[in-house]
Amino acid sequence: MSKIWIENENGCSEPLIQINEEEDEIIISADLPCVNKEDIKIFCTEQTLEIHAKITKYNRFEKWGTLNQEITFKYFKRSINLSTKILKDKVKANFKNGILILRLPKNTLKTQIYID
Amino acid sequence: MINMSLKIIETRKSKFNNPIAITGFPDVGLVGSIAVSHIVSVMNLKEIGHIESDKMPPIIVVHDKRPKSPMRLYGNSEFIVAISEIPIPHSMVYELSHALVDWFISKDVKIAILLGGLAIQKRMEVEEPGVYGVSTAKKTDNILKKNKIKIFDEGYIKGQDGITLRRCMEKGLESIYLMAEAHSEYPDPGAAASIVRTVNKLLNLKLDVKTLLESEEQIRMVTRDLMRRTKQTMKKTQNIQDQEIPAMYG
Repeated sequence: MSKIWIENENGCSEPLIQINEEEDEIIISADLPCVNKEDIKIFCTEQTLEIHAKITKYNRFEKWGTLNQEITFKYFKRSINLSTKILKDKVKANFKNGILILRLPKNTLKTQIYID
Repeated sequence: MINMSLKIIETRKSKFNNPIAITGFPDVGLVGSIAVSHIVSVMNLKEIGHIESDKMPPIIVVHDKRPKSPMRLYGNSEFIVAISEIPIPHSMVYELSHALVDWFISKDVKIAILLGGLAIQKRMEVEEPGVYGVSTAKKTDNILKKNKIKIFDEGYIKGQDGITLRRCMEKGLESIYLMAEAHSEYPDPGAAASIVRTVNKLLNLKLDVKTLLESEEQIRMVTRDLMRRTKQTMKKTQNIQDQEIPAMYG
């Protein structure tokens, strides 16, 4: 059994993610293969995001191509600290071909401060 | 002159008959790695050697209970395939390119086909990724033209594939670099399938692509860690190359 890619003892694995910061929104994508849409849970606050996804489709791999390894996966989990505050009630999520895309609008509302 | 600390070790005596060399190293979307791993598997190629270098990270892989080099060569009389299970460190790129191309020439390789990915932003909207080609000679230009492969006529080819392609040209080894549109930072078996289809077309082969697509999700699972480490290496290379790449003139 190959041990190079061993995951957490309890079968938890971090998904690959990509974060793109646009002027008015943060776009986060996560690669979630072997996951069904209904098994994904997303939690967010104004400045954090958490992705939980249960791996249900295939969870044991012994051999593929030139790689020969035995791995068991149970779920993906990833917590992200956001660089700026977002409007958490306006986050949009889309899941297609095993890739989750989240669009998080930045909270750009400004309060004017008056001088005493 | 580069001081070669890299060695190609042949572990199996092989008789070659003007073989075709195919390489696929970890890069954009792991397209080359996934494609060559699939090719080795469906062609049932035997391991014929490996690469050793003091510039490789101190790591070995264990397959079938035996330690192995993460950079290996597979083949039969008609094909030689080079694979790597680790990202190629920036400091090793030139040596590996020189050693591989010189070794290919010593084995009378008739053509080298390098496989890789071309990062595109809207990959999710593309059902079947397109494949672009770069060739090093008139004869290989004609092969691309005849097979209606789109030509990548302007831009950069970074890393191992770019340097290997240049070395092939310098040494007069006919070569083609194929790039499939791919996710930049996620393993992309769909793009690898497009590349294998193109290899089939160019070399008149019938390599199965269906099993590659059927195993897409499993492949994405097992190659995640290689993708993660490849991203880190690509970032380091990017930082170095940002200072080296000259401005483009149209």
